[in-house]
Amino acid sequence: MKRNVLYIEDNEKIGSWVKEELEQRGFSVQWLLSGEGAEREVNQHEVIILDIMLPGLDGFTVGKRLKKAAPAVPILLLSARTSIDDKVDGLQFADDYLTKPFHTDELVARLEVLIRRRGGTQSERISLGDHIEVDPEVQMVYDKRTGEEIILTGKQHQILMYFLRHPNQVLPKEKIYEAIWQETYITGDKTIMVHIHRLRQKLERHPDSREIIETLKGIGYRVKL
Amino acid sequence: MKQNRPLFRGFLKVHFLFIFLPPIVLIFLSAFVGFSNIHEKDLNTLHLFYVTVLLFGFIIVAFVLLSWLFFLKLHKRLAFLQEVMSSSAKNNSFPKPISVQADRMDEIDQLGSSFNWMIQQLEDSRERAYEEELLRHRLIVNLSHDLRTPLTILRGHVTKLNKESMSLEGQNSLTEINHTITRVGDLMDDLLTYTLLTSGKHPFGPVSTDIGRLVRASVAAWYPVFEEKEIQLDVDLPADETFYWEADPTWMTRVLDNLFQNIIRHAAEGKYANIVVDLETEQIIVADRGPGMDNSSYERGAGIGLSTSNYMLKKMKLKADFTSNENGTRVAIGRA
Repeated sequence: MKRNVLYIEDNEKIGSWVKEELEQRGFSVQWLLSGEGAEREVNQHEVIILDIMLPGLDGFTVGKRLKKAAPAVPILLLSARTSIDDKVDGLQFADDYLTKPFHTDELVARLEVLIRRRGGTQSERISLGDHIEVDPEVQMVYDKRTGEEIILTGKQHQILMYFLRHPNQVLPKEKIYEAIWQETYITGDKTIMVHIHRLRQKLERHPDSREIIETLKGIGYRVKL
Repeated sequence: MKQNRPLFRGFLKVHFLFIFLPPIVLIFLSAFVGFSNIHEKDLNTLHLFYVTVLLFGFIIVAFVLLSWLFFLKLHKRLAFLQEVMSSSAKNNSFPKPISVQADRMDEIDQLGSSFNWMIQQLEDSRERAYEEELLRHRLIVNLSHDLRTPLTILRGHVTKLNKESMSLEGQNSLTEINHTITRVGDLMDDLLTYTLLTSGKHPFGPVSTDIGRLVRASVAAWYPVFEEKEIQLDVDLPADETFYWEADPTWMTRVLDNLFQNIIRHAAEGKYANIVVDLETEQIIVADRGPGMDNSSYERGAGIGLSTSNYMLKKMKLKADFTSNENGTRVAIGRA
């Protein structure tokens, strides 16, 4: 099934190239040269690609209006503006930000993530390794081999959910501690190590294996999805 | 400049009047009043002697008094001028214009007026320099935005050409063009960062910063990139101890970002990066096994990035020592 993309770009050369590239990769692209009339079209699309430097209303204004009209449709800002301020301003309403000159492979990868994330809100179970499954809606963890629920303590559950909210990211122990305990980490504190060790005992196939929660020595922990 | 009332001419005029006016008045009075009686001759001679002594005494006293008043006034005005000039130098502030009496306009007023003129010129040139700097910054910011659109179009054409059948040499050229586009984009990023930094767009807020923690967070953020490039990370970050620097955490993270980015851009072929937080020497050490700064694309691409890092480190009273040879590059960041 073709995925519908609304693409707003005033530069005809870039617009026709990106449209062609995306269509070759299975997207159906509606390309507009300005933000005019975009609000009427927005609900028919799964994702919006929006340039910032547009004639008339700029991309920031158009993006905010589109987000108001269709909050569930993700917006990817495509811009020549690279400063942190522009990115921060853009990400107030947009879901992703890509700077020019971009590579179409990266653009497609980001679009797929946005579409997946949008679809992913419909409570899909998350698999960890071959044997663990997490239902994010009811916040329960199951052992696929036995079908039984794995009972976690409050902190263990919070740590696991924190990992799932930041999949594939390397998380330093200080960051995890401060997010879960809501207090400043004191250098040398072993609390987080102890909790992750106990969480591993419940989740990993073997207590010493690092199949689900990976340790990156001296740096932090990571859960790959 | 027109000199209305020269100070020294006034001084001389007053003195002249005080020296010559009393004898003239005396002669004038004696001519009209007269001392005609002969028996009064002795008395008149004595009287004249006293009058002359008194007159000379008066002239000397008047001379000293007038000179003293004159120099006191002169000193007061010069001291005021000196104070205005030196206080701005001491406070490292811009001097303020001093008040000048336009109707008087003697030598000191003239000096004050020249001083005011000089301040005005300085102020004008400072404003001009500021406007030029602003214009330069705006130009760089706009350029770095405007150049990205043609670069994107260029990349579009490269992508299209890549789909055509062509010789190996042609494909290699396209790959090189693609890398160059990325490099120009990165260079513009660095230039923009440097421009924004030096124009004060990234405010500097030093705080006591846990260096172990900061480096760990930075390495964690960069880990997937190193992994993707298959660069082996050899990390030695102490878990139980740390040290603190009075630094801006955002700036420090940018410095580390720049170092890690340089490894990815210029030393990825060494497939190795060593990142150490040394508690003993209180240093951050970042080393790679790339071809070294003289033999890689470092010189072509890392200039602005390194200038940015050095600028930030200097502001934080830190320094980076680079050692580089054909076996790799080592950067040690420590206190300046």
